[in-house]
Formats: sequence, structure tokens, C-alpha cells
Amino acid sequence: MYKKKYAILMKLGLAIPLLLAANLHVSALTFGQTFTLKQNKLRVEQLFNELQRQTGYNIFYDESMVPAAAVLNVSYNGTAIQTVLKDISERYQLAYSIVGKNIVLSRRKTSGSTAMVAREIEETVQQRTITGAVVDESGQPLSGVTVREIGHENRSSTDGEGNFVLQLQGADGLLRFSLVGYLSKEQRVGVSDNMNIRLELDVQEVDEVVVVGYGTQKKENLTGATTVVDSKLLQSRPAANVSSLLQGTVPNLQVTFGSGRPGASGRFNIRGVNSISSDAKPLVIIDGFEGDINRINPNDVESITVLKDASAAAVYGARASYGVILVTTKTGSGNQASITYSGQTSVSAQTTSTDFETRGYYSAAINDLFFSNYAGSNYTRYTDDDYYQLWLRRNDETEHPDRPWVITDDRDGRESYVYYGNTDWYNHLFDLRRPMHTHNLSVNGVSENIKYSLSGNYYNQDGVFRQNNDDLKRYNLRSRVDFTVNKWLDINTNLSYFNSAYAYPGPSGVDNSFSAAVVHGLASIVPVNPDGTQVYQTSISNYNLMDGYAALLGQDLHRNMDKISEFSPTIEAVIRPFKGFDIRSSYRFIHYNYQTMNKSANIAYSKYPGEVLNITSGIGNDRLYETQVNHQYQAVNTYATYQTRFNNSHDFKIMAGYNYETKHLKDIKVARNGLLSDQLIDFEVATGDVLEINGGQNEYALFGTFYRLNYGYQDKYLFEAAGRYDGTSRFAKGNRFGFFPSFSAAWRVDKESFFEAWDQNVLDAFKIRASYGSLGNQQVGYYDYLQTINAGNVSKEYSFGDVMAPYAQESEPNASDLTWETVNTTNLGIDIELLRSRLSFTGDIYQRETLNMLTAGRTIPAYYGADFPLENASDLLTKGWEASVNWRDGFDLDGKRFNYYVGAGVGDNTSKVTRFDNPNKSLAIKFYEGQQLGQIWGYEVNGFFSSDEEAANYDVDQTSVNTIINTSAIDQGLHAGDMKFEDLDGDKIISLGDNTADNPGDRRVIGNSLPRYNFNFRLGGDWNNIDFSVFVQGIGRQNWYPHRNASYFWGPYAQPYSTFIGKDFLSRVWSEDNPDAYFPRPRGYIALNATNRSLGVTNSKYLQDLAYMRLKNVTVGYSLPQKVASKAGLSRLRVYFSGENLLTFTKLESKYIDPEQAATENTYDESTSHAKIYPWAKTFTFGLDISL
Amino acid sequence: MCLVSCDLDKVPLATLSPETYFSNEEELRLYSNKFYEDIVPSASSVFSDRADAIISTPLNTEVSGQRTVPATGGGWSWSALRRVNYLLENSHQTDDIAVRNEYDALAKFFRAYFYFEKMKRFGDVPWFNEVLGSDDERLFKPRDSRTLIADSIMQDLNFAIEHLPTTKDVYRVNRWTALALKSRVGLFEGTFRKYHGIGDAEKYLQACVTASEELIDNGGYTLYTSGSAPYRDLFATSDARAQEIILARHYDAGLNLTHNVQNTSNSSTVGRPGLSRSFVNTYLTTGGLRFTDLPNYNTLEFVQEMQNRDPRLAQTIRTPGYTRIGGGAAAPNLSFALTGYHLIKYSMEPQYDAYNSSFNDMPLFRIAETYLNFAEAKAELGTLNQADLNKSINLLRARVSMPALNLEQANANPDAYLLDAETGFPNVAQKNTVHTGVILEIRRERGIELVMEGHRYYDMMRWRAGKLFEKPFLGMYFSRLGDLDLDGNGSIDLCLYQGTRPGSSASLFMEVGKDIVLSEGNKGHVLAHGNINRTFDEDKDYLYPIPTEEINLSNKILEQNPGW
Repeated sequence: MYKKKYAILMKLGLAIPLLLAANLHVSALTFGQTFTLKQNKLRVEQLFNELQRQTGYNIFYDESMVPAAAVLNVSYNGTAIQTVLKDISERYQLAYSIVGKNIVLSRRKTSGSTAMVAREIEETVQQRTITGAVVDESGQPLSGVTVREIGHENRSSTDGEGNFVLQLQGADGLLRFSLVGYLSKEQRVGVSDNMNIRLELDVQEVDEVVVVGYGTQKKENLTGATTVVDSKLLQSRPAANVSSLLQGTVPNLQVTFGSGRPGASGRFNIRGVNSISSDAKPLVIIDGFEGDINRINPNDVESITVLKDASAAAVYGARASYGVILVTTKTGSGNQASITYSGQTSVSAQTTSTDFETRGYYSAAINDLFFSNYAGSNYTRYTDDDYYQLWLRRNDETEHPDRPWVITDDRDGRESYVYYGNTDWYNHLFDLRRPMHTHNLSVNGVSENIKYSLSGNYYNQDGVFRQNNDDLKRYNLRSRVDFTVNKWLDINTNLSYFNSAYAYPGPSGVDNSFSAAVVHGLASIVPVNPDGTQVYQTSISNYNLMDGYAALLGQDLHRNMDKISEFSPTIEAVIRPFKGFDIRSSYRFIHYNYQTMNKSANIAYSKYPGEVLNITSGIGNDRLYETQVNHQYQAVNTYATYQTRFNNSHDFKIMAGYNYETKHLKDIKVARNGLLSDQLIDFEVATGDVLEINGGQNEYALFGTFYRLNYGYQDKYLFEAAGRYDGTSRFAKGNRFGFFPSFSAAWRVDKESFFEAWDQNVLDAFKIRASYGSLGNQQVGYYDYLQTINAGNVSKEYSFGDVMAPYAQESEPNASDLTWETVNTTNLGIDIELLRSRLSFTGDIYQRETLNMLTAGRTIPAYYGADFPLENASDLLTKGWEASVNWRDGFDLDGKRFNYYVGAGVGDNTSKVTRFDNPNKSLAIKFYEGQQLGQIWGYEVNGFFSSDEEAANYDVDQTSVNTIINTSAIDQGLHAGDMKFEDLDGDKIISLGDNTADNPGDRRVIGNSLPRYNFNFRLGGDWNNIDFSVFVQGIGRQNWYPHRNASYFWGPYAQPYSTFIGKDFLSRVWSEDNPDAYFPRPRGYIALNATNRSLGVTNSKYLQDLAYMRLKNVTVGYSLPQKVASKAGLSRLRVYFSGENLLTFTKLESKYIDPEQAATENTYDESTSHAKIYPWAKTFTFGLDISL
Repeated sequence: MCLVSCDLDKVPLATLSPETYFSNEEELRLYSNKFYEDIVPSASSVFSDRADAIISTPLNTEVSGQRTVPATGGGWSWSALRRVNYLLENSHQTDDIAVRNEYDALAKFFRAYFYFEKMKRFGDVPWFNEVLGSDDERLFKPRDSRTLIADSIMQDLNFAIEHLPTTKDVYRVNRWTALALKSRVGLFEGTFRKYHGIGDAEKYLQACVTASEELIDNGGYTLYTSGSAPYRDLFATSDARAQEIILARHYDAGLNLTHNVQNTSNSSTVGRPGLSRSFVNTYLTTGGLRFTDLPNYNTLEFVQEMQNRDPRLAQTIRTPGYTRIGGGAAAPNLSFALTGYHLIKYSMEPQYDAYNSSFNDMPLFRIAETYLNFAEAKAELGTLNQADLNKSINLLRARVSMPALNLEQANANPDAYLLDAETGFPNVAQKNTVHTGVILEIRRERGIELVMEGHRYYDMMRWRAGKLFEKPFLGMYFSRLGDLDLDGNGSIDLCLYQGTRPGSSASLFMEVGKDIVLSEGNKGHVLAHGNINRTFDEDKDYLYPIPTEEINLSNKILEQNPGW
């Protein structure tokens, strides 16, 4: 059955202790140590097959060592494996060795064979004979390495000590050395007749065993759509959490971030919109239980598997309809203890430009231009003389003694401050370096009956606030200790602790500081008055500088802290009553604690010289607010696996088990004022009113039984059936349980006999996969099937006196017969390996129907007075595909091996609503049948009017989208430089029509808010101890319509009092001299309303394409040569430089916004983000890895 | 099978069940607290008061005639009603009948309030007194008549008046609040019917009179008269003065509960509201004479114009001699007030000029309104006598030391200005035979007393006076350009210029034609929104349109209001 020259009984790398270590807890201990077989006329190959199957050892041998026709009679019954091997070795004059879980059979080194070689040398004396030795990376001899002369038939292999002899036939003398599990190497014979070759592990082989739900599976036997994250993409990258490492690594796994703040965690989506009823989150399983991927130490990750289709995810049933991400952490491995330290330090910069107008004159003049065109008066209330003063100072980067930036003058009958500054507000507020350092220490090893892996990590990153910095500190501890108690019992423990604390200045919600900073902070205003008091309001125009945040951030009185700690112990028992059968039972407990602290205080400021006032309301409220959220989660998994093979061609594997989980969630919120001290932050020193005491408590439970059956016939035809019977407390009795089955099959075409004819060097593997299955979704509220009264509400708007009004309210009307939504997925896939596995391709297409989504059952008149109850009322159809291709090879460069790989992946999906009660296709309701999700309706704008005459003669009434033109003070009506809205329906009036899809007025679908064509591109290699890798990711298309408040985009068009006006801004504003500008004629506020102002209404001219391509990571590393390192007592020392987000290519029409920042609010029914949030970073990292 | 209990029955741990809730007073009270937030108007909708009296920018579409039919929203929200009816459906779980009646009464007060707002806005609307199920056929019922709505409101209010407690709390609804609302509804509906030619006006006017009298005679509320400027201090205060205020919405800086009234009045970006000249003209002189009877009243410059006027004018806008509370003298600022008549009602110390930092309690019902309702209803009924005036309007006048209104004199000499179609209400004469003069005077008084309290727009609607929205919106009069001393203190406050800007010590420069428009080019009244051609369609604009989406959803059973 194995026709290759090398009989590879298990396609698992020989010298892959790492790999085995990784999977020892699932596979290694299933290996038996004895062998039972009684059969006559058995071929050696069959014997080895059976040996491998029973013992789990991988067996490597050269077929030529044993006569092909040799048969033997065997009778073993519980015989020790060593005895069996000895037996066979004696019979065929072989030597054997056991390396880890591998058995290597080689020719016995005898004087006879050496003599034979010598004889051959004599016979071909005219030909050159090459001798040599092959060793592995650590210098250990490798036996069984095939040595071939390229272009000729002659070949040889290395003996037990790694030596070979080969007679050259050709003149080139190009030799290839190959061994399964190692990267093949080609080397030309030099002057010397002796060659010393070192082969390197083929790291890709690590992928060959894949962690799947409740077990593992050989990759070649997978039948579902399963992707293993390339482990190289998880290494050597500075990351606050794992989600940021995963971005872009897997086609159709979208990772998006809501903020650029330190430690911001990503949101996942697998294969597109799954449901329009709830937040579509994939299930994340960490070492067997649901968990938060952002609370794992990135250094602890052994592997990440993404389960994309229903068959792969079926054993997770009701929570897996959005896909599953399986994370496995490292466990003890190796023979001796290794101690590894890795550290990184980095600095960052914004991914966007921060080159804003810092000259007070221009900052004021631009805003006044826009403001007065709207309002008829100046915003700043600077007089002409003031403007002259600003002009004189326009080039003063610092205050010139003759030209002070703050003067006092009588204004409005009072001595007032007048500001003539040139303040670089961005750099005043924000420090762009964000220094980070992280340290990781791990101890890893195996001794007797114990495997252990202990690790600790510290991560510290400063944020961007300059006055009072924000910073994130994170600690991770993990301990995995596995005990082999006896022959049939293992006890494994897995403890992890996570702690993070993010401290930041300003009011609660760190992004608030960014959104407030964009207004009223003109460069002409300075942060601090000459007497040291904070500037809050200018006395001449009465605006609050950055809504008061400038004065706030200048004083260290507002503090906030978000703390998360999570302790998660797991204990697992593995029982093996008999061969091929094991039972695993595990229990996990998680205590999660989330605390927030927000302290605010009065803000002192000075508006008139000599008078200090306080802001006491709003952001200046004196208040301490703390919340405590505690979650207690308990879960049990118990499952049994049995596998067997009979008649040498039927493989069976059956797994069945159950899972129960329950979580209790409790909140406490307290607020009080009257803090006695600015420094002590505790309710002990709060003496004022209790402003709020609130609670909240919820519970849920899940119970599921699951199974998976695998059947394989001759390794060619693979079938899998899996499913889960799932129950949840979130539905009423009677609607609680659902059954979610799936089926999949694969055909390994390369195993067919008709493929024998093929040149095995061209096509190595060819598999076709198909699957169909259904999954459920239970992501609804905890008690949505019940009508409840919540008595703990507190109004945010109303008070009857001392406190905010408390009130009770009934829950939304509900339908008590809610039940699961069902997600049916069909998947077709193909896996191909070509050209000696150097080229591999995987492709999948899928179709997914989401049925009975929990949405409003009907759309009815508003008299109902509430949202229509959720019912299982609508359907969705998603179609998509993904593909990835990889090439890996190596060649000799300057006598040293240059290994390299190139890979690319791409995915896409679209979703359509197939059932929704909206018969009129009203666009006022989010969905209608036939709607492609994410579509953006907008008006068509055909440039600007080129002359006032053209504008006056335009006979289409565009008042409804341009009301401000008629109400603002200057230049009413349409003029040159105004936008020309196209009259698509020909009725001479721009309107919404019936606001239905069939009669949308003058709108059409102009774009789509959902990302399309997510792609990645990877390349890397190593040579002479130098390694490098490059990772590029992006998306091919996604639209965004800038929010009416998107200040970095619109500037004074939205708010004619913008703080951050790009240096190039005026060059993009229409004027008679600049008729091709991007923006129309200047006028304030025309973006600030999304329903009736020309820039505010969604239109084709300002619709953005967020397609981007990002040089996500570049890493260059250097490892100390082995010999040098070992002299220093190290097993490894590597230094590297890594750059993250180095370059971004985007079509977005603003260099001040990162495309990801713009996409933060993009969902299937929304495309407007204001992008005034914590900026994204590009990061430069230096790292060091040391292993003892 | 489970190592820990495989229990899937998880009951709510922190929420209650409607089957057992509503069983005692505390539960009813807690539930009904939400009604206030749902139904009581916000501060900004009270103080903005956008009609013809206060002119802002941009002009609101109701006034400019540019309203369009919305697709959704547009005031067509019914969720507050659902909650009110939910209480009424469940309150029977309380055994104590007195408690149940009290909270039913509170719910009915809010139902009346809710429907009053709906009726003012849309006219006919469907009446629902039960929580609707999602498959209830009544979701598709047509609108009920205005009469049914108005009578149902009155019925609810009668129940509320009967069962609400008499204990006073300025932040909570009680019997007196219900009477005040009934007075308001009665006057609105009575006059709306009268001036729009719908029958039964008297019934509602009489209801207004009855409720008003009960409140005036037995409520115990009196006008706030302390200090030298009681009218100003009634509003420029952090906590409502409960002697006069029947219901107020509470604002409190310590609770982060603030509004933006002072910033709106003192900022060049938030609408720049200012009184209109035609409204300012209605303030009498201190002697009780009509300002508009002065021969040159229309071309008096600001300092002269403001001399010897009803003291409430100087307590509503900045006039010469104005000093800020907690601050110095300040002249009107044309960059803050479009018309130049710079609002100061509610304004406190200068530090609260900042955005959203006002925390004056917002008056919602005060006895002064009831006085005005009472007098107007009686006048419209033709039953007003001098004694009625003396216990209502004349109390308001006395507070600000204005001469009393004399019924006979008023009727003998109706104000030509207030009767003129350009500036007033000619239809008062058409609809009345006996009380034309006094009705005009009551309208004058109402406008002045209640300005910036959210009444003006619907007053204009019920008086069928929308045509006044078409008239030019004027401000201060300037006979010349150049340096101007607006407050008469000798220092230059404003420099108006054309062409090159002159040298001046003024703190504010305005280029005529660009920053400011004058009605006669280089002199005249400030002309606000002169460029907007305003039309008020009498056949359409007295009611709001119903959102198109709702008409579609009703299967077209819901009919759009006329003209839309």
C-alpha cells in the first residue's frame, strides 16, 4: 500500500520530539508497549503496519532492506515491543533504535557490508566515490537518509551512524539527501570526496496532527474545513494578546479591533455574517473549555485550529454556529528540562499622519471661514487686530519674548485673556512612542512520570497620553503538570492565572478623550495661562477647549483603572482500560473578576486673569465610581474514544461524551462623591452622597452530549459523522433541546491505484472533502423567554431630588416559544500537494443557511409600543470560499542551505436575507428579503457645479439633502463648488422616494459595508543562522461612509471649530482656483447632519473604500551558531528585530485615519464610524530568546 | 451522568416576575417613576420655544415651512403609552384599593399628558387603553376622532384629579398637577376648536375654567414675589420655587444632570436665539400704555426703545443697565443673539455659560400659566369679568409693578397692533363680539409672561395664527452704521460697517450684508432669515405629518394628515 521508496507507516516526522511533545497528552500515552499478533505468511510490511497501529510508534525503514517477497509466521501475545524488534532485526540483519516514539530500522553495520562496499569501489574504480555523514541539527547521526545523485539512478542511504557511500555516475555530482520529517537538501560534490551534511527539521510536519474538538486527527484524515494557524505567524511578534496575532492569518477569519489602545482585544468573525439576530462571535475553546483568547499568554500557545464548517464544529453544537477557534497550550516535552527566556522591547508610532495645522493664524482663519459662511459671524470672535497679531506670530514655533502668546485685554467689559499661540495640540496631548517591554520565562521538561510546563509572562505597555500616561500591565502564569499514575491512569493539571490592569487619565472610557479633543482646540489657544492655571474656556468666544478635556488632562485628578483577573484551574483524568480505548474526564473552574474604577474631580481653570473657577458638573463632577463583576464558571467534559483497525483496511474511531457548563454572573456598582483626598481613591474617604448602588445577577447552564464516528476504508475513503444533542437554560422547557448532526466524507484520490502510474514527485497528495451539517445558535439573553420586571434601573436623565430616579421596568415583550436558530452548512474542499510536497493548495467553497433567526417576527405599526417580540422568523444565506497556496523549498547558497517559503491565502463571502417580514421592502426597516447584507444606499453625486450659472440652471431641487444652503447666512442657494446630486428617478426632486428598495428615490446601492476578499501573503526563510519573515494582510473591498462627526475626515465641514486640521486641508477645499478639489466650497456644518446636509447624506462622492494592504510584520532574526551557543552553555540564543504594521496601502481619502479605525463600526447594517478613537500603532520591536 | 448537577433550570436571580409585581405601593411607585422620564419634556424643548417670538438659526422647519414627511420617527412613538397601560393592567395585584387608585390616577395623568402631546401634533390619533398584543387586530385600526381623544384625556384627568394626593412635591405629580394639565388641555382644545371652526369649543373652555378655578382657589399656590426682580429670580434659580411652580423638572450639577439654556443664550454656535422685534413690541410701557402706540415706535434705537417698558422685558433680555448675576455690566451681544435681543431668562453666573452646565430646574407647570389659561378661557367663553382678571392676570402685573388690566378699557380699545394681520391676530375680532380687546391683552400677557417656557408654538397653532410665521423676522433698529453703544454706558459695544473695517474700540465688528443684514441696506432693523421665503399653508401646517413608513405598515389604514 505504500509505494514510495520509503515506507512511511505514519507520516509523522521522525525526529520531531517537539511535535510529539505537543501532543503527548493526547496521543503519546496511548502508545502501547506490547504487541499481539498471530499470523502466518505475513509480509513484513503488514507486520510493520500492525506494529505501528497497536503501539503507536512510527516506524521508518528502507524497503530495500527486506526482500520484497519475504513472508514470515509470527506469534506474539503481549510480547514486549523490544522483543519483537529484536526478533525481526535478527531475521533480516537489521539494527533498530527507538527514538522518542519512533522506531528506526537500519542496515546492521557489519564488516561484511563494508567489504561489499569496498568491492564495489574496486569494480568502478574509474568512477569517483563519495563518502560522508549526515547529522541532524543537534549533530546526532541520521540513519536511513536517502542519498541520490540527481539525474541518475544510483542511490544509497545512511547507516545507523549516519554514514553513506555513493558512487557518482554523472559529471555534475549534484546529490540530494532526503529523509521524511526533514527538509530535503541538495548539495554539489566539491573537491573533497567527503561530505558532511546537516539536515533540518521540516517544521511544516508539525501541522500534520491537528487538534479537533474533543480529540486530535491526522491532517490527512480530516474531512471537514479545518485550518491550522501557521505557527510561524504567532512567533516573534509584539502582541498584547493572541487576537492581535491572529489578524489576517487565516482566510475568512476576520479579526477587527474597536480601538488602538494597549491591550485592545479583537473581535472574531469566521466566514462572514452568520446571523442578523445577535453579535456573531465564534466559540473559543482553550484546552477543551470555553475561554477568552485574550487572556492567554501568547508564548504559551502551542497551536490554534480554526474549525470553519459544521462538520468540524459539530461536537460543539449550539455555540459553534459561528465557527470555533481551538487553542492548545504548551505542555511538557523534551527529555531534559529546558529553561527559556524571551524578552521584547518596542516603541511605536501612529499608523497615520499627525501632521496637523499648528499655526494659530491658520487654525483660526480656516475655522472662521467655514463658520462664518454658515453663521454669518466669526467663531473665534478674534478682531482684525487679533488676526494681525496671530499673523505676526505664525512662524513662532515657541513663544517669542517680544510676541507673547497670551495677552490680557479688555473684552466685553472685562479684563480677559486673549490667546495668540501656535500650539501643537496633538503632540501636546499625545506621546507617540508607547514604549513596551515584555518578559517571558518558561521551564519545560519531562521526568519519569511527570511532564511539566511552567511559564510566566509580564507585559507592560505605555499608551499615548502625554500629560498623565495610560499604561497596561499584564501578568500571566501557567502551570501544566501531567502525572502518569500507573499503566491505565494519568492525571493532568492545568492552572492559569491572568491579571491585567489598564490605568488611564481623563473621564471614564478612554476613547472619550480622543473624541473630545477634536473640537474647540484651536492652535491659537494655549493649554496653560501665564499664571499656571488651566485654560478651559476662552472669554472672548466662550467655547470649552476640547469640551473641557484639555484642562482635565492637564491635571492629574481624573483616574481610571480597568482590572481583570482570572484564575482557571483544570484537572483531567485519563483512563485507559484497554488498548485503543480511553476515557477522559475533566473539570474546569474559572473565577473571573472585572473591576473598574473611575474617579473624577472638579476641574480648576481660569477664564479671567486672577479668577480661578471650577467645573463641577459633567466631566468636572466630584465622584468615585466603582464596579465589580464576578463570574464563576464551572464545566465538565467527559468523553471516551475507541479506535481500531481490522482486516488491515477498516479504520474505526468512535468518540462520545457529554459536557455541562454553568456560569453565574454578578455585578456591583457603587458611586459616591465628596472624596476627602485627591490621592486616596477609596470609598473610605468618600464622605458625600451615595449616588448609586446597583447590582445584577444572572445564571445560565448548558448541557450537551456529543459523538463523532470516523470510518476509513484503506485510508482512501474517509467518513465522519458527528453531532450534538444540546440543551440550554436560555429557552423555556420544551424548547430547550436541539439535535445538531453533521456528516462529512473525503476521498484521498492519491491513494487510488490508478495514481500509481503518476510520477510521485509531481503529485504527492490529493484529497477531496465534502461536508454537510447543522448547528444551533443560542446567543440570546439569559431569560428572554420570560417576561420579567427589572427593579434596579436608574434613570440617566431624571431625578426627583437627591438622586437619579430609580425605576422598575418590564422586559421587552417576548415570545415564550423561542428556540434555537439553525445553521446548515455545506462545504466542499480540496487539498493538494505537489512537487514533493513543496507546493500545497487548499481550497474550500461553502454555503451556509441560517434558519429561524431570532428577529422581530413581523413589522407592525408603532402603536405596539415596543419592539416586536423576537421569534424564529428569518433566514439568511451566506456563500463564500477560501483558498490558500504554499510553496516551500530550499537551495544552497554559498555552501549553506537557504530554506524559504511563500504562502498566500484569500477568502470571501457574501450574505443575503432570504426570509424577513418586510413586504414593502422598506428601507426604514433594516432587512428585507433578497437584500444583500451590508449594502449602503446613497445618492449619486456627479462632481461640483463648475459655475454659478450652471448651479442656477440645474433644474433638480436638492433642498432635501442640502437644507443648510438655504438657511445659512452667506451665499444661499447653489453655487459653483456645490455638489451636484443626480436625479436618478427623473422627477426633478432629490428625495427618498417611498424609502423602499423598489422606489428608493434618487438613491441606489453605492457600496457595501462588509469586508470582501480578505487576503494574506507570507514569505520567509533562513540561511546561515539568519531568519526572516514577512507577513502582509489586508482586505480587497469595504465601504465606509464617514460619520457626520468624523472630524479627522470632514474637519470644519462638520464642526467649524476643529482642533485637528490637516496641513494639506485647504488644498483639498474647492475654490475657483482649485476646481478639482476633493471637498466642495467651504461651509461649516454641512457634514454634521446625516439626513439633510450635502456631505452628511450618504452619497457616492464621499463613500470611502477601506480596502487596504498592510505590511503587518517583518521579522529578521539571528541565532548564534549551535557550537558557539553550546560553548556558552546555551542551547539557543536568538536576537531579532520585528516591525508591525510598518506600511499601509489604502484607498481611504484621508491620511489621518487608519482604515481599520474607520471600519470599527462596520457591520451588516451599519457603515459609519466617526473614527475619533485611540489611534492605531506601528511598532518596532527588538527581541531576545535564550534557552538553557 | 453529571459530576456536577446538570441542571438547566436557571431562574432569574435579580429580576421580578410581572405576575407578582405591582403588589404594593413601593412597587407601583418604582414602576411609575419611568413615566416622568418618558413623557415629561426635556429642558431644551421647554426653553427653545421656537416660533415667532424667539428667532434662532437655523430656522426650524415648522416656522420656515420646510417640513417634509419623515420616513420614520417624527414624534410617532408609542412606547411610553405601552408602559402606562401596563401599569393600569397590572395594578389590580395591589389589594389596597386606595393605593391602586392613586397609581392608576398617576398613570392616567401621564396617559392624558401623552395623548395631549399626540393630539396637538397629529390631531386624530388612535386611542388605546390596553397593552396591545403583537397580533392584536387593533394595531391596524384607523385613527380615532379628535373628540374621542380629547374626551378620553379629560376622563383620565378627572380620574387623576379625584384620586391623586393633594400633598405637594414640586418634582412629582399630584392632584394640583392634574388640575393644571386639565386647565391647559381645556384651553388648548377649546380655543383650537373655536379658531379652527370645530364644534364643542365651549365644553373644553368650561373644563379649563373649572379646573383652573379649583387650582387657583384651593391649590395654595401663589406667585413668587421676593426680591427686587422676582420674575427674573423665578427662573434664575437652581431649585424650583415651589410656592409658584407646580411641577418642575429637576436638574442638578452634582448628579451630572445639566442642560444648555445658558450656553444657548450666550454662544455664537448654538442657534443664537433672540426675541423678535414684533414680540418685543408687545411689552407695554411702565405706565401700561402700548409701546406700539408711540408714533416712532418702529424706528427707536435700542437704548430708547428699552426705556420705561414692562419690567419683565429687562428680566427677559439684556437691556441698558443690565448686569450679570455674579458679574458686571454686559451689553447685548449680536453674535449671541441673532436679533440683538439677547435672552437672559434662566441666566445665572457667567461660569454657567459653558456648554451644558446649566442646572436650573425647568418649570413645567406654574400657577401663572393657570391664571392665564383661566382668563383666556373665560374671555373666549365671553364670561370674563374684572374680578376674574384681578385674581389672575392682574396678579402677574402686580408682581412686576405694572398697572392692572382693566376689562372695560381693554375691550373699548382693542390694540390695533395685535389686531393687525402683519403683527397680530385679526381673527380674534372675527370670532368674538364682546371680548376682542381683552383677549388680545390676555394673549399679550401670556406671550410675555410665558416666553421661553415652551408654549408659544402651540399657542400659535390653536390661535390659528401660523400666517405670522411668514412675516419678516426683525431685530434691533439701527439708524446708522458705525460705532454703537448698545447699553448706553458710553463704551462702544458694536461696530457696524460696510466695506473696509473702520478703526474702533468696539468689541464686536459686523459687516453689514455679510455678518448682519439690515432691512434697509445700510440702516434699519436687523433682518433675520430674510433670504428664506417662508410659507405657512393654512390647510396643512397646523398639524404634523405622519411618517410614511407607519402609513405603509398600517396597510394604508392610517391616513395622512391633510395637505401632506
